[in-house]
Amino acid sequence: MENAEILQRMCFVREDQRYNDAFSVRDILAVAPAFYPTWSSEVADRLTERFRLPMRTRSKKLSRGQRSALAITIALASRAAYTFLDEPYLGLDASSRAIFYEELVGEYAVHPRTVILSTHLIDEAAALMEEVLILDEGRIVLQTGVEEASRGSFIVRGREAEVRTLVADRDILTERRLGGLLSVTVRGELREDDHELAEELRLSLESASLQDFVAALGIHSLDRATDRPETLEKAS
Amino acid sequence: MSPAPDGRPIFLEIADRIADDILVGLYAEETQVPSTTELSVHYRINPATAGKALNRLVDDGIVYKRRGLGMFVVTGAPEALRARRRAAFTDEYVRPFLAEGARLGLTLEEILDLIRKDQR
Amino acid sequence: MTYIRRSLRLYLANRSWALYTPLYILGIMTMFSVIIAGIIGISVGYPLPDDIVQNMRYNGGALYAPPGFLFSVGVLAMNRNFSMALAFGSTRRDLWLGTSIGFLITSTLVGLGSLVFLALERATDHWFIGARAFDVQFLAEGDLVRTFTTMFLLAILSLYAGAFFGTVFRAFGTVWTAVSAILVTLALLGVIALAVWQSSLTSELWDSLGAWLLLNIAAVLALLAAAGSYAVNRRAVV
Repeated sequence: MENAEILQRMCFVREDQRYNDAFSVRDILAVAPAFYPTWSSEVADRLTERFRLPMRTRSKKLSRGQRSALAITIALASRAAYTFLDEPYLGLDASSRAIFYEELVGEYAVHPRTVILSTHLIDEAAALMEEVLILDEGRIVLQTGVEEASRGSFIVRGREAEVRTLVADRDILTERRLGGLLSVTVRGELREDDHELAEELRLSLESASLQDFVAALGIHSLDRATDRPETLEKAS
Repeated sequence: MSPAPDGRPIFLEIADRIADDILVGLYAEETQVPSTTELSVHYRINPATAGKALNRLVDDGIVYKRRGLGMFVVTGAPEALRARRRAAFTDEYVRPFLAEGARLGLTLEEILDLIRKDQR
Repeated sequence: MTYIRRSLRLYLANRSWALYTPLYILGIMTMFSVIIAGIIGISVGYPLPDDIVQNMRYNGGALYAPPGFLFSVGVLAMNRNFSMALAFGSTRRDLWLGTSIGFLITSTLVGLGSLVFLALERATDHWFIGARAFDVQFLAEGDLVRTFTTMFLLAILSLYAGAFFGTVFRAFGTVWTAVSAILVTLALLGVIALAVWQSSLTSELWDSLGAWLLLNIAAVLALLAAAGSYAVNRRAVV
């Protein structure tokens, strides 16, 4: 059974949200406040203007970017205690995305709430977040503060033997080769004497961006997934 | 704004930028620096990160909080910043500079010549 | 109650869709009836001769015109408004109740609108030339109660039928929507077969109830569709 008290504190509008075909943007934005005691028409007006949403256009005729802009407008204007944004930038150009990020943090700073934003544009959105949760096939593989997550991995590059020396006892996520050079993404933070050791072994150390980290985790899990059929065969 | 490639936290990056602006007098002593909200909107960062940047400056004695008004530049902050940056100048600029010179096989005399030439 | 009112407001978010268009349809249907009567009159003269007027008494436009659009209103109200209402944090039950109140409003409006057209038709001596759209045989030729009830039931049956199939589509997908349409058709054919088989009982009922028999059946069907959409609605996902 659904709990109306709890549900009215949630907003979950997606880019592929279906609206009534007969409704125009104006109709939708006129009725949305009925669902949210916290609705801010000021925010809605500002966002529709900044995104240049065509008020008279029927929902069916909106472009992908316009649908995203409408979803973002509803989500931010709702000021719902729990706001879900599921890849809200689809079809938005770079400047509209900048507007979105700006409005998101601005609204959040003035009216704090829980915003759950799912995204594949990780580096672009990382600075907006406080906490990161990385899911792999529905399982949580990482849940931590965004700063810790950004320091959650690093990349070692150099000649293979020397790289192996440094990463010997560490959690290796991915390895890539370029000629005689090996580039390894390692999970975990750098140790105190790593910089000295790297200098000695003529290795380059780089911190991986959150995006690199997530990509490495993903490749790691895909590589493991391809091993799986073997284990299944053994089991049968 | 995204994290610096060297993995330096964003809040330090922001704190440094504000300190830079104070150092060159963009924010005069006893004037207001941007609020958490203004910073987070401008740099498109989480307000908590912006708050950390300001707190960092408070801890360093560069800005202080006036209740209900915001953050203001401490009197003497530019001087303090200048002194601190001078102290760090050797570590942050001179040593790496000399190390690169050594890698390129330049003698100290040659390096000084390059500096003098550039000054003219 | 406030939650139900929200769903009602969602249904009424576009007034011309939920309230006015059904009335326009009645008006356009009337207009076409008059124009056709007028065209016939070009060759046979005005006012229309008796045999033509007799034919116009059987004009079924009022029955055929509204269901298609109202069915689509029913589909969208329970299907698209559902995904909107849930995105906005409403519950399935509140959506159904609020939309049902909306259906009642639309249907009442269709009934009242029909009465207005009927009154206009009579006041203008059937649009001056003997054209008929509402003063017709199956609306009991000017019987206000029969006209209102018939048009009201026609509207609410169309709306709930749309709502039922819209909800089935949302809950079970295309295949089951087709299957349920076939099953509903079979069930209706079964009822007709039963009526033909028990023809003596049927004619007895017809004799005692007359056209009200059909209206009762429509009412029962509307209730079944409403109950069906309510039951399926609880299982539907976005």
